Amino acid sequence: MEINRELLAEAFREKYNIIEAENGREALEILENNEQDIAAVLLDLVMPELDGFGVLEKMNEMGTIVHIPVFIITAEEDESLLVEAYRLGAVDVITKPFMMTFLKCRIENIIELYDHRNDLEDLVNDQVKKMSQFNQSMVEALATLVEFRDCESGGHIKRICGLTDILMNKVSSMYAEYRLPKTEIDKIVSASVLHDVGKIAIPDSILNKPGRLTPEEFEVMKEHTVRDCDILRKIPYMLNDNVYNYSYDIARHHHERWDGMGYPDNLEGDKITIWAQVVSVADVYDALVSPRVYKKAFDHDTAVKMIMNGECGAFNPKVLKAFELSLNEIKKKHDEFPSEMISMTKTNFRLLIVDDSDIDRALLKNILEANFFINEAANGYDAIAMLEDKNQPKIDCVLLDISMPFIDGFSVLKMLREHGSNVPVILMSSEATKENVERGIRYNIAGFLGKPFNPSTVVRKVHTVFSLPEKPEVPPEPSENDLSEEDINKTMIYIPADEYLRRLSGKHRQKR
Amino acid sequence: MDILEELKELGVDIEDGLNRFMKNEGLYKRMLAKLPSNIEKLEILPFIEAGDNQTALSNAHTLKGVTGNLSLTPLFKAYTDIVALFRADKPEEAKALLLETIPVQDKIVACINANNS
Repeated sequence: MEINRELLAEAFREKYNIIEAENGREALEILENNEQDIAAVLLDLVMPELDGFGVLEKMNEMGTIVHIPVFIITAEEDESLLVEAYRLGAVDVITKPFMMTFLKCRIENIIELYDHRNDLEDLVNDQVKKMSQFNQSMVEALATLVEFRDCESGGHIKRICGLTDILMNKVSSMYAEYRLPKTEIDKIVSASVLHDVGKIAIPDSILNKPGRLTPEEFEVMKEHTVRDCDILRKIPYMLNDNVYNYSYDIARHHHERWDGMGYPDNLEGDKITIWAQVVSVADVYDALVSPRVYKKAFDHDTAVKMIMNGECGAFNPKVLKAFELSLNEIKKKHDEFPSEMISMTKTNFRLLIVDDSDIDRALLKNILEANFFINEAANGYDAIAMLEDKNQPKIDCVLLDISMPFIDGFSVLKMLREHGSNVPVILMSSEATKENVERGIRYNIAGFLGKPFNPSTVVRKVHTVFSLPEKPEVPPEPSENDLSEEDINKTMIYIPADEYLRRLSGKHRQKR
Repeated sequence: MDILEELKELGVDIEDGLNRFMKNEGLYKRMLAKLPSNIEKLEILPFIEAGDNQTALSNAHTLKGVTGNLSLTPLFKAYTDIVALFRADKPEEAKALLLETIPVQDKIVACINANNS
């Protein structure tokens, strides 16, 4: 009734803006368009088109009843109807006729209480959000600490989260069977942070090995997926966290393969959850474009080609399609947190490269200078002078060419050992003959590098040096059965050095 | 045409070379530029003709290493065989192979010199 509306408007006009509705339907339209601005609703029960009960029911459906107080202003006296109004969420029922002063006090008191409650709710939500962000930051910090062990700078976690976000959204939008709400995708992105936390249980010698792992070492490395789950189960907070199931599944299954040849559970096809599949692709891409102890980073285009050609694992064709369509975003995300290798040995170890070829010296320096300080000598005499000069920084390993003018590598090596030097020496030659290797072993070389150089072999052999014992024995005098230089030169047998050292495994260690 | 493309047409395995130099194209090109002076310094034919097979072998051995590290595939293969022939006491056959190799080598050196200038 217009007169009733006018009376009520007059009572509150001083402190509030007034919006009027003639019936329930009009009231709901106003509520939908002005929800944030409505301090209270004064609602009649008996109205045309939609009565007060209808409005209350609709406000319950919309959820607006929770933060907008509704006062029923009615002449109705039927107790059951008034109880129904309370049941539907009305905060007060004011029966007519009413005293304006009391009406104003009752309504303004409730409005004030609702304001406080809403403010408190906002404060709590804000604190919950901050707590959640803090928890997430701690989890990311934990995961980053683990990544530091294999010399990653910490950007890997941020990149994996970013790539997972991009790919999950793409896959979800492209394929109905993989569709997920944004809230779930956000949980998956959070969960991806801990995909490799199990690496903390892997020994350094395997995690940071600068070369191909042996089958036994690979079996140990594979365990990190299972260790991930062990660790997650032991964190009470994680068990209660709503991303736990995603974290667990991603940690365990991000190394499964579409063709069932992955680990640890040999899952195949869509038995692997879509989120584990997505993190798997993200992880492989990031590994390819990031430097490691045994390789430099591939560029973006090469990494993409390798993934699409199936060179780095078997993936779901649909996920690969989504990956292909997201390449620009993926590259941008990678560039936001560029990969960088933390050098383990740069500040500790110094190498001396002894080779008369400036090309070979430059090549080795290019391979090794990221992790080592490098000195160079173009001939054996300069090398010996450098090694025996106490004013020079200590040399931790020598890479020594055999064939050089003035004095060859074997003569340099013999002189060093006779002078009491036990510096590790890696011999180098374009002829990894049985005799060359055997002769080197008699002088307790730390390794043999064949030319032309393979960068990953160079890195692996140099890194391996630093685990050898410090005091090699002085080699015995050559026996009368040894071949002379001339005979050696005449009867070379070509055999890969690695293969020969493997055949001799244990022999050179006996001499230490 | 880029020097690497030209060398590729002469049989040089550019991809292998770039991989060996860890994709450092600038360094690879600078080292390629040193090849002509290396070859000039490590003569083989005059020593064969003078009967000094030891020096000839030593120089061939060094060139084998250099051409291998620069991925100059046709030259690396040739010097590998030349060294093997010297080791097998077959200097005449080594000389014959060297004479076959020199024209290929000259083309590669000319390409590098042209780009250097």
